[in-house]
Amino acid sequence: MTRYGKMVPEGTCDLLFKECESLREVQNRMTELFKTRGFNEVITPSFEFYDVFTGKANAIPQEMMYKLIDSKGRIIALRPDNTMPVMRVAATKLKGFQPPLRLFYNQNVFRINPSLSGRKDEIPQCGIELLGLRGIKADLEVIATAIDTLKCVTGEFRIEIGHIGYFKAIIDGLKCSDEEKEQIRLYIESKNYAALTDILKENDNKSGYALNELPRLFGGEEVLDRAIEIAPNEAALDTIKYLRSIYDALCKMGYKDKVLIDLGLVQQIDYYTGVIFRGYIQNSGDYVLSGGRYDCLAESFGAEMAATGFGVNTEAIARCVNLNQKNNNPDVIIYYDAKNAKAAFEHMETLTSSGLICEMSGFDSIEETRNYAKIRGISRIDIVSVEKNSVSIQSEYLQ
Amino acid sequence: MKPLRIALTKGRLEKDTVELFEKIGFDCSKIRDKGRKLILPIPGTDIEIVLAKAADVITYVEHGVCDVGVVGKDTIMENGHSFYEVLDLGFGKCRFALAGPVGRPFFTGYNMKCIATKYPKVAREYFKKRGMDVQIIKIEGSVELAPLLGLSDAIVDIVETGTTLKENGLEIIEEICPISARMIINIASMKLKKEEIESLTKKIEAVKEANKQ
Repeated sequence: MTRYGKMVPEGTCDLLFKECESLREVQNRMTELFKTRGFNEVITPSFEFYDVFTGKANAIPQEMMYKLIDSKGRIIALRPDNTMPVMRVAATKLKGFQPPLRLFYNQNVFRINPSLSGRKDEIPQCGIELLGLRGIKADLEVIATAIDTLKCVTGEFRIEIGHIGYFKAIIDGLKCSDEEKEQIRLYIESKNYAALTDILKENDNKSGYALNELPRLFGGEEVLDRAIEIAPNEAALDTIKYLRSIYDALCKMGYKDKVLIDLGLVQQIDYYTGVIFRGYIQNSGDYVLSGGRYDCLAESFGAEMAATGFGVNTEAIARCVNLNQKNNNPDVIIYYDAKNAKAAFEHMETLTSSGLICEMSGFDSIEETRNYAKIRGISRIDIVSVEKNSVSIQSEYLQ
Repeated sequence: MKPLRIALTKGRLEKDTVELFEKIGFDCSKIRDKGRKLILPIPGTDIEIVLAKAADVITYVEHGVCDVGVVGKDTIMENGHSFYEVLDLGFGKCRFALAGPVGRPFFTGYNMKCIATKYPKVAREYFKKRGMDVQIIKIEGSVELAPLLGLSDAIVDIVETGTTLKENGLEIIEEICPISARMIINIASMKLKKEEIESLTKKIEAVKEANKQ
């Protein structure tokens, strides 16, 4: 039998020392930001009933979920997403609370990726949910918080915003089957201009024309002008007007060079119901932040609740940005005889309370302690001794 | 800013792409005279060319270590996940087809058919669309052998002229889809290097238009 006791499964990894610090630093900065804006933390179970993740509006492909069977034969899934469990909590336990609810989470999700793809199956995420609020103020708050979330770890980022309503309003005007509509959506999502033109050949009307333009509608303000020009109906026009007011507000806040428009953002159309956005940072080939409005999601949990929020892949960010980290190498190692433990630990407390990092020597001889300190690069050894009830401390400095 | 990295599929697509790049005014002398180098600059631009195997072009672009890739639609259908597929470059044309021994009907009978292919995902998708259960066997080289040796009932493979099929007593049962070279873009690069990428795709589209006339 092959034994795998010395390795980790594909898609997982150990994070050591600097890697941990970097991740924790990213998480701390983000969660501190969330807290200062009135968001409260929730922690949900690492595994939940499979049904939580398979609602109509929020189906996660079953091949992406790690599954278990509980003692009663029911299917359990390792949390593949954070929004749905948080929504479950909001729709059940927090039902009587005065809305709006401002919630945040900081916990891992688990997803099965194709083998050897180099993707992580366990992904640390943090994010916010603003529940029970409709309208532009809620959307603005969430997008501005998304911008500030990336800003607190790097200056090199972009946020793109779109509105799923534009696509929905246009495709509704098209006479074709649901399968064709899905194919059109896929071509727009992957910016496959050639195939899109091809499939729309027979729709020689304003809607067909607008859909064909959709994947090219990304960039700055000019995109909104163009989108208004080609909008085939009132509903489409309204979504652009709404998007423009958000864009204008963000520009006034000073984010003009950080915000892009992309009307080709048409992923998960059963899930999103309004604005939709993603964030990118330098050195990461994939988006690191994604969010939007999903007002229908609560229905899966038997409640009615407007909802908007976003999630951030903190591990990808920790890998891509270089945050100033303090050096956590011990400043002092304390050598003592076990019978003098009280004096030694008191000395340690004095040093640590002055801000030094102290390690207690576990060795039986001062030579071993010196040797170890040299290898670890600890420059000071404090030797604690007690004679006739008087404590003496002798410091040695290594070069 | 890092240079714009373009991954090219080694071999015939590489030659066609180099010709295209020369038409848009890039100095490709370093690529034509590359020796064994795998990363080559285009002098006078902030562009680097990376030479890779087809499926690796997709991997490099998906992970964002290359911003742009040139790769066949066949490879995209078999290996693609998430990137933008912005241009049909119009060269490297051929098609995916289902082929079997001449004169032997394929869609009749109730026994489960066996399909040999280098492209299991493409084959699976095709039969899924037709609502047919088949057994798929992955073959690495000359797939035409499999039905001849009696391992499979038919094959799913790339067909260019059909000569290989004919010479081995096989014929096309049904065409699956046309194939040509595509330009793909990493989704983050599209947003972070928008100007550079747009200027490149515009130049290529201009050359394509000129060729049409």
